[in-house]
Parts: sequence; C-alpha cells; structure tokens
Amino acid sequence: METREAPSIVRMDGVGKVYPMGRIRVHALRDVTLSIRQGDFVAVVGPSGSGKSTLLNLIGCLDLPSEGTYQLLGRNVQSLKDNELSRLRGEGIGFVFQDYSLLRRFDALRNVELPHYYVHGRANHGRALQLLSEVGLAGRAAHKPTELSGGEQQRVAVARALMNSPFLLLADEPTGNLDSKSGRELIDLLQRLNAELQLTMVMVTHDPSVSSRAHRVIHLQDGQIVDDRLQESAGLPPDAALGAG
Amino acid sequence: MRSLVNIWFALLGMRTNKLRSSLTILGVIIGVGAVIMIVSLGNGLRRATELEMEAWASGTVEVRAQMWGPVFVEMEAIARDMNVVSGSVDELRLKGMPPTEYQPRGLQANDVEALRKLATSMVEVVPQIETYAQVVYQGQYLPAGNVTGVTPEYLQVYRSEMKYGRFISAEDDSTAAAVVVLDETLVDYAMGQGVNPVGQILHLTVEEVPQNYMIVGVVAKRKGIQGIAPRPVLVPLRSAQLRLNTGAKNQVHLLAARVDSRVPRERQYAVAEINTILRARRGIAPGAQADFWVQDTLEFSEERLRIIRTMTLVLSLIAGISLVVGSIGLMNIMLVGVAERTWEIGLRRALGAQRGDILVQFLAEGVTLALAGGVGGLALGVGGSYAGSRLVTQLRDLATLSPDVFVIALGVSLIVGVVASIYPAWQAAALPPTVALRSG
Ligand SMILES: Nc1ncnc2c1ncn2[C@@H]1O[C@H](COP(=O)(O)OP(=O)(O)OP(=O)(O)O)[C@@H](O)[C@H]1O
Ligand SMILES: [Mg+2]
Repeated sequence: METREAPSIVRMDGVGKVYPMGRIRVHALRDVTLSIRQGDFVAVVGPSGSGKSTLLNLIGCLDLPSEGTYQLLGRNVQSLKDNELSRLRGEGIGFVFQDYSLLRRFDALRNVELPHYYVHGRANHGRALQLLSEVGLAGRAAHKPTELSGGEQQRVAVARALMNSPFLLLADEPTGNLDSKSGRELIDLLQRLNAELQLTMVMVTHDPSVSSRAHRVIHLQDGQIVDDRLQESAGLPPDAALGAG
Repeated sequence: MRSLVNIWFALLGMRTNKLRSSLTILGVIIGVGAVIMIVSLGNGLRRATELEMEAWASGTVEVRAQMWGPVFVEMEAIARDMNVVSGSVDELRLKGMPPTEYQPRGLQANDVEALRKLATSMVEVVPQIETYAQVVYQGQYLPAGNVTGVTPEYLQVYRSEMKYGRFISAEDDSTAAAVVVLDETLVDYAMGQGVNPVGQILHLTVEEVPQNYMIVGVVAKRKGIQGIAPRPVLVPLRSAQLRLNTGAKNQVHLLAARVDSRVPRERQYAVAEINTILRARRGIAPGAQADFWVQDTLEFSEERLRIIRTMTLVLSLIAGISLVVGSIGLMNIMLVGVAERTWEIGLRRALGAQRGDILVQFLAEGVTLALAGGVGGLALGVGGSYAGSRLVTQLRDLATLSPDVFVIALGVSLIVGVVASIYPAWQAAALPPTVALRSG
C-alpha cells in the first residue's frame, strides 16, 4: 500500500476496543493497525462477532478506541470533543446500515436531507432531489419508506449518506437484507460512486460476491486483522484460503 | 435555525402517536384546569368577602353585653398594652383573677351616653336590641325572624342609605312609634324585585299577639351582599324595649360604634377605649374580666379573608397534586418515547446530530405537549369557574377572569413541560451512538 500515492485518510495504530461486560472485558478489537487511502474501496470480512462492525464504528467516529491511536484526515480523533465528532460525522462521513435505517414518518426526500439539517440547519431540496435521481429514484421523493422496496430504501440510504458530500462512506452489510439482484445493483452503485467521485469506501460484508468487488479485503478474526490484501482484479471470487480463515 | 429544525422534528415525532399524545395532554389539562379553577374561584370568594366587608363591617366596632368569647382576652391584652386601662400596668399584673361567676348585665342606656361623651375614636354609636318575632306581611310569613331595635344613628354607623321612604326618626324612638323599616334584600326576596312597600302594614307577632307596624322605609341593599341581610327588620329602639316584650326596659343588647379608620392600630385603639370607658362605668376592677366583649367586625371579616386565603392555598395545593400527577404522566410518556426511539436517536447521531440537538428535540416535544395541556387547562379552568359561579349563588358573577390566570396556565405548563422532559431528554442526549444503533 505504501506504493500508492493517494493521501491516507484513515490511520489506525495498535487500536483496540474493549467492552466491559460486567466483570468480563470483551476484547472486540485488538492491535489493529491499518491505513486507508483516498479512493480506496475496502471490504471488511470475517466471521460473526469478529469485530467488523466495531471497526467500522471506530472508523466512523461513532465510538472511540480504548487502546492505540486513530487519526482521521490527520486529526487525532480521541482528542475531539463529542460535538466535534458529531460535526465530523455529519460533514464528512456517510453511513449505510444493513437495515435501511430510514425514518418511517419522513418521506424519501426528508430522509435524504436529514444530515443537511444537522450540519446546515436547513433543507436543501435541490441537492436531495438530484441525489435521489442519481440513485435512480427520481420519482420517489414523496414516498414513505413503507412505500419503497428494500433495494429502493437502501438506495435512499445511499443518497442520504452522500447528502453532505462526505470524504468517506461506511457501509455495514449494505446488501445483507437484499436479494441478489438488488444487492448487485447496490454494489454497482457504490462501485460507480467510488470510481466517479474517488469516494473512499469501507464496507462490511459476509458475501464473497460482494467483497470480490472491492480493491482491498481486510479479514478480521477474533478482533484481529489476519489478512489484508489488495485485489488487483476486482470481480474475481475471493481467495479460498481467506474464506477458510 | 438549528433549534427550529429540532422543534420541527419534535412536532413530527408527536404526530406518530396521536392517542398517546392526547392522553398525556389530557393529564396536563386536568392539572392546569384544576389549578385555574381553584385560583379564580378563590379570587371570586375573596372579592365577595371584600365587598361584604365594605358593605357591612366597614368601620363598625360592636360591643356585646353577652357572654364573652375568646376574643375578649385578646382585646383586654391590647387594652393593657396600649396603656389605656386605668391604673398602672404593674397594678394590673398584681390583681386580675377573673370572677368565678358571671352574671350578664345588659348594657345600659347611660353606657351609650358615656361612650358618646367620652370616646374620641368613634364617630357615632348606636344601641341595639335584638329580639325575635314572627313577621307577617299581607297574611304571609316573611323569612325573617330577627327584629332589631335601633336609633336613628344606625344609618350612619352602618353607612347605609335609604331605597324608599325614610328611616326611623328620633321622634319615632322617643314615642316608641309602631313603625318598621325593612331591608331591600328582604323586600326583594319576599315581595318581589322593585316592590315599594312603604305605607303598608306589617305584623310583628310576639307571644301570639300580632302588632301592627307601618312600613316607613326600605334600606338599600349593599353591593356584594348575597342572601338576606343580617338585620332585615328594624324598629325604633324604644318600641323594641316597650312593645316587643324583650324584658329590657332600660337595657340594650348591643352597641355598634363607627370608627372611621381601616388602620388596625387605630381600630385597636377604639376597641381599647370602649373597653376602658365601659369598665370604668360598670365598675369592673382592673384586671378582672368584664361582663361584655368588644368585637371589631372588620377584624372578623379580615379573619374570614385570611381563612379564605388559606383555604385557597390548601385547595391549590390539592389541585397542584393533580398537576404533579399530570407531570408524572408526561415524564413517563417521554421516557417511553426515548426508549422506543433509541435506535432513531442513534441514527440521528450518526448523521451528525449533536447531543444538544437531541436534547432540544425531546425537550421541545415535552414542552409542546405540556403547553397544549396548558391551553386546554385554561379553557377547562375558565369554563369550570364560570360554571361554578353560576351554580354557587355566593359566587355569582364573581368568577374573575384576571390576566394572571393566563400567565399561570402558560407559566405552569411551561414549567411542567421542562421539568417532566428534561431528564428523559438528557437521557436521550447522553446515549452513546453505537449503543443506540444496536437497539434497532
Ligand atoms: N456495546 C457492546 N457491549 C459489549 N460487547 C459488545 C458491544 N459491541 C460489540 N460487542 C462484542 O464485540 C464483539 C464484536 O462485535 P461486532 O458487532 O463488531 O461483530 P461483527 O463482526 O460485526 O459481527 P456480525 O457479523 O455478527 O455483525 C462481539 O463479541 C460482541 O458481542
Ligand atoms: Mg456487525
């Protein structure tokens, strides 16, 4: 990776995350050292409970590491105040979750605008409508989430993630609840965004056909990175050894 | 701008659970309504009493030659304090066991004379005889049993005015004339509104013997008086003494003196002066208990006013309890709302919401619910106190719609809203985003 010229956006060094569970301390992550550069398309894979979501939450500044140091855009995340973290998330990081995560009483337009309200304190219909048409939902702005299919809802969520033009898009199993066709369409969309906007992307997935589309696959096990490799020819099935690991 | 957005989010949040929001609002409505009702009815009651004070008691000090009440001891203490009782204070302290037996002696006509001559603190004195008779007018019993014998000074002492005809004259009194003056409240009640009975005959029946009295006048009723006035039938003092078989040929039952002051200290002085003069006249040893007692009617009304204030306060506290219950309901609903929407809170935080945004959103939700309750409670309270003032005669037309009722309703509900939702809102704001997101 050092061979790439793009600047490093995420830089973790010896990061660990410990959850106190009563007397026991659960080590969800240990000694994670990684660097993600601008324009990367990273898939995080690994068995359930291996710490994928935990890692994504740390990268997205939803939580802070218990050990090690984490720098985002060169700033030490641990030294930021809660409000600064909120602002950083709102302005610079887009999230897509497995369960679509739309507010049910808002229509698609309002859902897409939500991050804009929190950062700028007002609506921006123009940009929201433009994003909706970019994700192929031009006519659905007034639809409530219950009036949209799962794939459509997830695309609304992608549009929402893009609302404030983030430098980083994080997706936790975005295709987890979708059928294979909608899943493929969603990954197509993400891949296009990555290619066209040079949008840095980190995506947690269980699905080898999804991780095969990434430039780089990080394999987690028991909270540790056991493999981290580039896939020069994205689109190939993942290495058999990775799946077994 | 940002806060406005959060308030808008709060309003949207409430819309999703209309029934629950309505029930919560209802709780606050009942609480605020109860407080408003109590406050405005309390105000009405107080105003009624104040008017009554103006009407009846303003400036009169009554002296009764009857059994003494507990008030007496206090009055005497004041008399001593003010050093108007003859003899030095020390002398008074040395003596002073009350007589073991008490024989009531009526006040004498010359007691009245003494007060008129010696007292400086009162404008006028009127002796009175109180007795009972059946009052019959045109074959109908009137609902008034007590007949009062008075002298012409009565009008002045009680600051009354004539509605029709004339009052009892000095000549009526000296000749023990068979004339009677009625109070307008009695005329209105028994004969009909606006009837002028002057010149008609009224029968006062004592011991089965009816006596004919000529109605010569009607005393105008006073503002604020409800029901029949305390002295509805007035006859000349001597007529009462000689004709109505009161057994009090030279005695009177009551003296009423008018003191032209509402200053408590001056009124106390008047009471003390009456005490001193009458004690001396009646030869009561310093420190011994007197056979009369002096009662400041204004003080009586003030006492009543104090009781009404206390009552209003106590009732307000009870109404306050329903307000507290309403607030607890609101707080409970807010806590439930926060718990239910934990995931939503996490999502909003992930999308850039700061703790303050979440706090404002939930606070605004609680305050809006409470304010809705406040407006409803205002309607209920105002409506309720009007209904109350229709149903309770004593409060007729007295429900006071003062501006402070609006201030109370809005202020109270604002406070309820903030107090009940600050903790749930704070809890929502303090949720770590990851924990909140996991709850989905
Ligand atoms: N808030 C928390 N409190 C306690 N333990 C936690 C918490 N969050 C995660 N963990 C634990 O940390 C470990 C890693 O969890 P994480 O959610 O990161 O796994 P994952 O790889 O995303 O799993 P999955 O594929 O099932 O989503 C798990 O053992 C989990 O129980
Ligand atoms: Mg996970």
